[in-house]
Amino acid sequence: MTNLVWVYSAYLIVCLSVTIWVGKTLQRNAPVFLNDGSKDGKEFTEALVHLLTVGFYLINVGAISVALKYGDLRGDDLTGAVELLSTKVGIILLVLGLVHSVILAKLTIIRRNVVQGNGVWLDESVTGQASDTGSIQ
Amino acid sequence: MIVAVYVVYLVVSLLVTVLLGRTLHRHGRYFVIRCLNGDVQAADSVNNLLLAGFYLVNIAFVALVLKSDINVVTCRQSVDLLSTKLGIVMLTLGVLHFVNLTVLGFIKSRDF
Repeated sequence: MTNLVWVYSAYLIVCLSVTIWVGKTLQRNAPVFLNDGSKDGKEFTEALVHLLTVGFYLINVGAISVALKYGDLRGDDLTGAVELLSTKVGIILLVLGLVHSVILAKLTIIRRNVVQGNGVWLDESVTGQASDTGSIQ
Repeated sequence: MIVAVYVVYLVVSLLVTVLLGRTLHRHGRYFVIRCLNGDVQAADSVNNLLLAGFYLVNIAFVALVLKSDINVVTCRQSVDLLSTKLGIVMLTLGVLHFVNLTVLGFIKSRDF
């Protein structure tokens, strides 16, 4: 029982810290990847990257939480605990990697549109108006 | 024991729902304006309606997931039950969130 508490705690700490690390990396580097230097581009990329990061956290924390109870502890010794811990952490890292790849694929498509100038974001006049209305409310 | 699980579950799920709703309302506004071709007034009202719909669907979902048939006796069972329920709610919220983003993107341009 005591071993199980240690496995659960270590699992939660490792998985949540890796999730936060990947989320922070995404939030820091994705705007650089997307930005073309214009003011509207900055506003667009900040909103988009924020929404993507929120979805990333939701999916991963949800997966970590659902996967918590699965796996049997074999025996009472340390070997069983380490085996269980590494299996659980490994599965979560695979899920994280998969979600991360999907988000990168999405970002690459958006970047292609930005580079080709397909009008991904709004004109400056519209967003200027938009921020005025936002401040009145 | 089960009452404690229910209380923690409700508090955490409702907190996540409200925080997520506010974030979407603030950062999604730009995308709604974009979908409505720059009509800011219409976009703001659509944004408020979307927020109300989001709260309704999510609170209903949280309430529906609450019930459990498992008899919770030990501490471990309650932790397992709580984490499974919270995980299901968060995974569903995340999947819905990405579906919403894709739909908002498709309305304006096919390649988003």
